[in-house]
Amino acid sequence: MNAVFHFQNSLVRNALASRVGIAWVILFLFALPLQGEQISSQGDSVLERSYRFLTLSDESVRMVLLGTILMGLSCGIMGSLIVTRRLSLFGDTLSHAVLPGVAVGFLWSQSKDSWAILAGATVAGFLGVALISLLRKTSRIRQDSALGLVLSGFYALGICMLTRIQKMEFGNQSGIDKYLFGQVVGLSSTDLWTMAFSFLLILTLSIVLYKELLVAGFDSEYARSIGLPVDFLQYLLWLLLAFAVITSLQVVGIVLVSALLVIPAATASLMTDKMLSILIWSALLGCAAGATGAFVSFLGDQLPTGPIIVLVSAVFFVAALFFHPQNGLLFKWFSSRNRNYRISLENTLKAVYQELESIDFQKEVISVGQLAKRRRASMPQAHREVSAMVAKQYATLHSAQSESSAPPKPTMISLTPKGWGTACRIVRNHRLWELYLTNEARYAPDHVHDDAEKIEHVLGEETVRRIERILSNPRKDPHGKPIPSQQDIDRGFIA
Amino acid sequence: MNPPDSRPLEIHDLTVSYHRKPVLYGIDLEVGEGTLTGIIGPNGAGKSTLIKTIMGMVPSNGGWVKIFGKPAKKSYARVGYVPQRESVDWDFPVSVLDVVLMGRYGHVGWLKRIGKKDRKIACECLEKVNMLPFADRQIGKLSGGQQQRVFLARALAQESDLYLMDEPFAGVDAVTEKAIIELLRELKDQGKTLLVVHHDLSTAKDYFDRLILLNMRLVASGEVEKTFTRDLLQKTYGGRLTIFTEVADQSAGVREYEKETDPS
Amino acid sequence: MYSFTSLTKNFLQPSLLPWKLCGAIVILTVGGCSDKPTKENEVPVVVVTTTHLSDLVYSLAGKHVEVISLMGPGVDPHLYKPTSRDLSSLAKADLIVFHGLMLEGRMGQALEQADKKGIPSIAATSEIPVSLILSGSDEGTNGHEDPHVWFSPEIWSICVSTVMNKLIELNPELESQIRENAQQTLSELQEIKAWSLDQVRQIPQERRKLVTSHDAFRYFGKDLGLEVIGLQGMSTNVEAGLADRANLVDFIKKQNIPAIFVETSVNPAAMNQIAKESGVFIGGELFSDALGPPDESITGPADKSFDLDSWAGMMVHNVSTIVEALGARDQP
Repeated sequence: MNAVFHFQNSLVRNALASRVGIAWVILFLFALPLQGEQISSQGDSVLERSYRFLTLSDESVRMVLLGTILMGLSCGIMGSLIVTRRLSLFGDTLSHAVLPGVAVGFLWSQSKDSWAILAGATVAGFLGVALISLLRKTSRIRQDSALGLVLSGFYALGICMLTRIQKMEFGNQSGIDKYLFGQVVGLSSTDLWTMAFSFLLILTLSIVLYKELLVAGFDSEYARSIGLPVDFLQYLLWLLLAFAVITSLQVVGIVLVSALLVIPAATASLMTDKMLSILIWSALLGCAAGATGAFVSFLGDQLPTGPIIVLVSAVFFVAALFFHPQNGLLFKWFSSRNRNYRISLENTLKAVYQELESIDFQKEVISVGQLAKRRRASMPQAHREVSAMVAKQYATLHSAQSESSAPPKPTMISLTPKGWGTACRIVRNHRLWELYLTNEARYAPDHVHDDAEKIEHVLGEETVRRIERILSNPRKDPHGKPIPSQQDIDRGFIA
Repeated sequence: MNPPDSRPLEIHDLTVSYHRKPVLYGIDLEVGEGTLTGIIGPNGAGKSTLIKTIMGMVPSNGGWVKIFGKPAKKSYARVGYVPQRESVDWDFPVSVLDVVLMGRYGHVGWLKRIGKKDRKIACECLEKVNMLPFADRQIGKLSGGQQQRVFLARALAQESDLYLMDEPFAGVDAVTEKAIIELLRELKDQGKTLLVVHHDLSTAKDYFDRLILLNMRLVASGEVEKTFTRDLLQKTYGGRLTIFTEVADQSAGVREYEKETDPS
Repeated sequence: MYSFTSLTKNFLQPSLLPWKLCGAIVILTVGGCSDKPTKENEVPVVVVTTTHLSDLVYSLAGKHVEVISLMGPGVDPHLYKPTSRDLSSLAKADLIVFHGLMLEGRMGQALEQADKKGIPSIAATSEIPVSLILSGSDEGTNGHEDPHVWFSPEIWSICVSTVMNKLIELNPELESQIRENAQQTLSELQEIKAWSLDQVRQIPQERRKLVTSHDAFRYFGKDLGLEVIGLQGMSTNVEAGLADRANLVDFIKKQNIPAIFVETSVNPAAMNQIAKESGVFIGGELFSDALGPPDESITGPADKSFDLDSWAGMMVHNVSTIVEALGARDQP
């Protein structure tokens, strides 16, 4: 799939894998039972917990569920927009670049007020983006280096500031370090309002500007030529991305929010190659991951919601990778296996036909030994092929008439009408293709066989009709062998 | 209808430089309605830059450009641009039909949805370039020639009066090339104006009525018989014409013209 | 042959000047360093980790030693990561006093390094008998010890003695002074304890439940007869999850708890949220893992004024806040 090529870029792959790894680490670290006289030891069962969650009887549950759903939707939509533009690393950079803004916001307001922190985060995010554009325009530094520079530089600055802040009297009260990994227990209604606002903004703009975003993402030069303010759209995209990132910090934290931007969109790209479908699926998957993550984190004690959401979305990704009906690896493997099986069967049928042809169809049956010889296979191999034919009702096994008193062994094969039809078709395809290659494409007659060996299995009926028309319904192939016609097929085997 | 003194394209004393290096110098040009004009010149002559400057995408250092009497930024609706296929993200999840519909965005306007009429027009344009069966396919899954045809359909869907095309025949198979030039001629017959950057000297004479010879400066501009001469071509291509001399000579027109004017 | 002047002249030639400059700087710096800083000052330097210990050491040896505290008021010792300046302070110390029992969870390596350098150090909790230390949870999983021992005057007295003995060991000339100060401190501990018990009796029996940000008050609760519940566990390193939040709200509602408390060293957002959901108010801010700010004071037993950055001030503040919130008000 198109976006999968993007993920073959090892940088993005590594970033993703490291995020999922970090989620596991956090899960284990934080879920280690450093139990104290803590509220959590309630001892209710998983079933009871599930019921409690699903009935939404706790306000905490309602709030956190709403928060995770809003976050999943926002990150899903924004994720689809940036992943299809190959800007996944941008999401990662932006989420790390906000850290010093968070610290400055706290230092500026000297309070635990989240507005100042969010404002600081937005400013830092924009500074980061501006710096990246500046670097690319004025120096030889390429995009991924510029991203890495800003990501690590800003993040390091943020950590230094955090280290200073931890020494300050009100430092720990700011809870800034919670922005690294998210803290769902502190989610307040103010937070929910900002998330809702952010989501509505993102949703509205992606609907209203859908086609503009489409053309700007596909062909920016053309977009400019029809008067579209491409740069302005780009800045708008960054703004929306910044909102999505910053409002998600409370739930998943800086380190993991980029995973939530990328994984649902990546999953959607595995499933479809239409932009609108990717956008919708990505939003739904983000929402589902958010809700499921909240649910799973409720089942146990001290389970961190953020990392679990990331893990759930990773599970969705793996599921789509393997089990998607057309594009999934498992189905590809199955259909490939089926195809190989079918080709083998058809080759066997062809051999039977050729063997019968060699005796001018005087007899209806051939022996397994003859088949083995023509297929240049061993007897056990030939018997296996015969069983396959019989299983599909392409042939029947008879016993040879023998004079000895020993019980007759089934060693003679005859084709059923179904088998005969298929055999004729394959042979016709093969010889027709050979003729086509020699006549129309001017191949030498001795070069056409290998090609025909492959093509005979995949020629469709319509193509066959066209070739027959082009070649004016030929009767013989380049080697003089008769090409079975539709009548021969319908007639069934007639000696 | 446009007032009599606003030709499709007027360029006066246009100069463009890139990082202080001049790319185009003192270009004076006029293109009339209903013409099929080719721009030829060696690599780096500024042909693409000229087109981009006309579109307003590259800033100029002097002179002006008028499209139907107005500056480029005011004439988006009437100009159809077919760029080189470089800035395209082929993996982007758009289908062939989505791409052609992009040609209708100018008519639909921002913030509005695409309608049935637009879809109909898009399909008709796809039909004209023989790409309708591929309407649902993702754009990256086509051959170069097929992609170029889709972009042409997009330009058609724009229903512009002036078309600027940047090497539309590059990397395209023979059948597609034939189809494209037929389409261009059809457009010209409908009264559209076409300005095409062309890379292949051997076909330049056959495809176009008028030629612009460009090598940073305007070497010549006018009817193809008058411009496609060995002299002017040599001026345009400098010493590099030796390869092309044979090719140019193969086109009967040059020989005849030379015979007429050459006193010896 | 080579004379000093000719070598110097050669060195000062402009060729390879940048490299020479670097070389010169390196040599001067390395030469200027020495393993042990020469001490010209007479006052011994005691480096402590938490505010409780700085108060302790100050009250024992006050004017006679220089006390450097790595953590200040409002700092969470569970999460505190030492800076490079802290490391150099540790290196220059004459004595390091730290808490132990894994309270300074992230300073292990720094303290180890200082130990290897041969700097004397003492864990204030090292001599507490095991029987007095509360362990992990009642189910006995993990057996992590609860480090918040300063809330029990009895145990804290043991810590006072431990630190006192070490201080005397290193500064024998100050012995009489230190013992006298220790006496004062210990009697103050007793006074505060008696007063606290008295205060807590004012809270109706059914309301003696203390809900805080993290599980720091078990010794406090055991001593004074309060049931204690924390949202987070014994260490703020472990986050509370969604279920913990919902369960706590449940608990508060079912038990009709009138007020819950936040702590100065922990982010109050979670507790604020829980208060809103369960319909109770925040009774006040408690000093748990850190003492109060230095410039404030509170009136306590016998109308004496206690600075908030002292152990006594901390206890008085906490007890008063709790009693006022849980006891004095009517049922909500």
